[in-house]
Amino acid sequence: MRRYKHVLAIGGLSLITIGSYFGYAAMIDEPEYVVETVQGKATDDAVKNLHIELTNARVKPNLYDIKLDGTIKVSEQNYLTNLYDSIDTNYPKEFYRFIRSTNVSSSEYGTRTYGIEAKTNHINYQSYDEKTKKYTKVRFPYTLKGIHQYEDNESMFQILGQDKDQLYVAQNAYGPGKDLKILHFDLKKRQVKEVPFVSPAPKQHQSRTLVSSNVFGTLYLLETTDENDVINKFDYYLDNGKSVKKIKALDKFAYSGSMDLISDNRQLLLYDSPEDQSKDIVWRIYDFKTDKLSEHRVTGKYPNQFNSTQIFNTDERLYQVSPVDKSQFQVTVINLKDNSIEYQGFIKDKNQLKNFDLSNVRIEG
Amino acid sequence: MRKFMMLLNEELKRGAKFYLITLVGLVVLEFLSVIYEIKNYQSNVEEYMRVDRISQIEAIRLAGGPFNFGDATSYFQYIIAIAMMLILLLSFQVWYRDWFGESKYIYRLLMLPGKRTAILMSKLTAVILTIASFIGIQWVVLLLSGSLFKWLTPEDLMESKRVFGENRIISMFYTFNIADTLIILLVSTLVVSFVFHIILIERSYRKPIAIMHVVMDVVLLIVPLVGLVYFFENTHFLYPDQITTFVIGYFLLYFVYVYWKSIRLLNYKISI
Amino acid sequence: MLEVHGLHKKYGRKRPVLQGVSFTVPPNQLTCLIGLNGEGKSTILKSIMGLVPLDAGTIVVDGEMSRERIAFVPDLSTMPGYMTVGDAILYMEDFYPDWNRKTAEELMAFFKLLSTDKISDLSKGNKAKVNLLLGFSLDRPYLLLDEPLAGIDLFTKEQIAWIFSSHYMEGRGILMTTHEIAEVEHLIDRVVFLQDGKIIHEDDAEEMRELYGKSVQDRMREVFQR
Repeated sequence: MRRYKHVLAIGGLSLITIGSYFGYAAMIDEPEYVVETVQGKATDDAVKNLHIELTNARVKPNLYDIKLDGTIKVSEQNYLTNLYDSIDTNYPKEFYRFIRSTNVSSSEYGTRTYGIEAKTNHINYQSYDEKTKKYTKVRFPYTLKGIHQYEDNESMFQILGQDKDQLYVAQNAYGPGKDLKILHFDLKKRQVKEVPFVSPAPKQHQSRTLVSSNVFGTLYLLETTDENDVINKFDYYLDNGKSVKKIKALDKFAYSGSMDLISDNRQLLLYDSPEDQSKDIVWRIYDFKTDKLSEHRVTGKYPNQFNSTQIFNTDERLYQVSPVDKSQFQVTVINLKDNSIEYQGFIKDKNQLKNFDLSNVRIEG
Repeated sequence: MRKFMMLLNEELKRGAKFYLITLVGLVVLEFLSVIYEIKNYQSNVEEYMRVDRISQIEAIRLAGGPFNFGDATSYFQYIIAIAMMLILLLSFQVWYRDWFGESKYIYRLLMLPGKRTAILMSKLTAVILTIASFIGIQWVVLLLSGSLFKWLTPEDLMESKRVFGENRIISMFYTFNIADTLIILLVSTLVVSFVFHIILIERSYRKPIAIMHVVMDVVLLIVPLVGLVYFFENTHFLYPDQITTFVIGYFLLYFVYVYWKSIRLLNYKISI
Repeated sequence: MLEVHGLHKKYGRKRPVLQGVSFTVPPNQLTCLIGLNGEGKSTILKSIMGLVPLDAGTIVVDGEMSRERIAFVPDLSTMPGYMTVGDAILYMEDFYPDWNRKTAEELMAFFKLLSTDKISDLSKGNKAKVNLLLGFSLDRPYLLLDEPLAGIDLFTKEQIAWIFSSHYMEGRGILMTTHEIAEVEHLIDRVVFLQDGKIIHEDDAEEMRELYGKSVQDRMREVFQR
């Protein structure tokens, strides 16, 4: 003992103090989540692949991946696992190499990631769908003209709409606007056609933001600013290749929140993060065919929390997950075909620990 | 093993005074800083109320908002930085004290029977044990400071009684995840090993050659790593997660080299 | 036999300190390594003990290349100052399986050292005694002594000199460097002269005295004043 007096003293001190820290960590209450379904079923197509990720913001940052059938996967987050958070690993190797190449313009739209590479006399196109795991690779015999070289290749192309094998892409989407081209990619026929676009280039103090493109035309927002760069006017226009029509129905909506094409690209879904403390989920649908905007609203059980709510849509549904407090979360799924609640449920912590935040909501599988 | 344990005990014994003084000094400094911050905030609020003739709520707002444990421990990051500097100093001192001074303990160490590896390992373990004990003591101080904070801070000035998650720097060290603590100790071990390596080079070669060896070893760490990562990222030969694994693997391999070379220097090149 | 073969040592671009030094230290004899200041005597002893790496050369001890049959008494204190004499003895006992506790206690008594004496508080002479105690208490057949009598008072020298003629020397091969030749003249069996990093002469001291009537000091003057 004499020989090791100092080792025992400092070693013992370290062991006891760090041991008490580990002991404290082990005794931290863990949540015990249960799912309570109020409407619909956890096995419904709408929600069976929905993953809700919760994490403790303050202590012991474990990640809880919860499915509505009650399946919970707990992942320990530590400094080492935090280094491994790249989504690229999900991509097939060939696709990953393609979209990360210097000359490839990559972007995301819905559940798909796209890569477009303009070559001298053809276009290389690849896409990968996170949901279906489908990897598509097409070589289009088409010569792109007038491509601007941006520093950031992301700016070259913008996806404006997708529907099965049809894709609408803007070339030179960002920039002065006079070189904007709208392209239609037919993946089945392996054809690219230029879609007529007759709108004039934006003038000084005007800026144009492309919203969508489909069989009805290309929808864009035109904003006008004053000398102090403050927006004092905005309008939506639909360019069908022959004429340009002002869409009065969208007059009231400045470009914020989400605007996505749904229903086979025939409708535009507009929604924003819910108003703080409001119980309502509000969304609007603009129908290109009828040129009409409809507003829809459902009322949840609990008030929403602005900064903490996750809301996203698929082609058929609108999903919202909102914290009730830090130990309870409400899940609402709206069917956009009939604008009704398809699923409503609650994720509750039996231990009522109030430290958890919503980290991510995704559909996988 | 026996030689290693006895040498470890001797190393800790040699540094016991320095260790105790540092530990007590830093702990006292932390407690005093908590008391100072609480009293300072309180007096600021009172002064705003008195001089500007405003309500307490207004005065709290002017003072930067209600007081929380993060505010009370705002000096901790500087004290932790001082502790880290002292540990770095210890990493040098643990070797150089054997060469300089009235007695040359390094003679005795190098002449001891058995492998010289035990000398390197005992010094390394002594420093890492010191770090571990500092981590442990800081935890205890954190808990006691939490109690001090709750006891001394008037409730109407307090934002919340929460102790954890309020101070960003402290949250980096105490994540309540055992793996993170082990990672911190592992990274500390690698840093200290590298310091030891430089010292052994310095003690083995004349200055110009020693500098050349150190530069070479730094280049060996950085150049291939940066070059290969650049290559992988540009050719996209590996996924980002695979590049991360490669970088970690390279670091570990590099430190195998550092240990191998350090032991070689200790066995064949070191000169008193 | 302690055999030293072809030791080479050079510090940087300066002239070599050791240039092919070879000699032997027979068992049961006291070999004195003599040279002027800075000739490399200490370097030889330190390199035998592995404290200074050699550029070339080998050391063979009774047919083996192992240093664990050699004890070294350097010319300075090797124990931390905070240790007491008792601590130092316990330290040696812990680390050395061939530590002789009885010899250590006897020497401690002979040198009038107390186990509670703190090493940093000891005089130069007493530190030298502690060094000798630590070296002689190892049951090793070869002992290297680097300037054991340097800078200490007459009475301490006499005490130390007594050790060299005592039973503690029996059966050991001793290699010593010293400038205090007169104090140990009568004990030296062999003399090795070192100059410019080379061994220039080796003599049997007994032969020198009996056949030529010369002391080691006389021989030293002859060799170095040539």
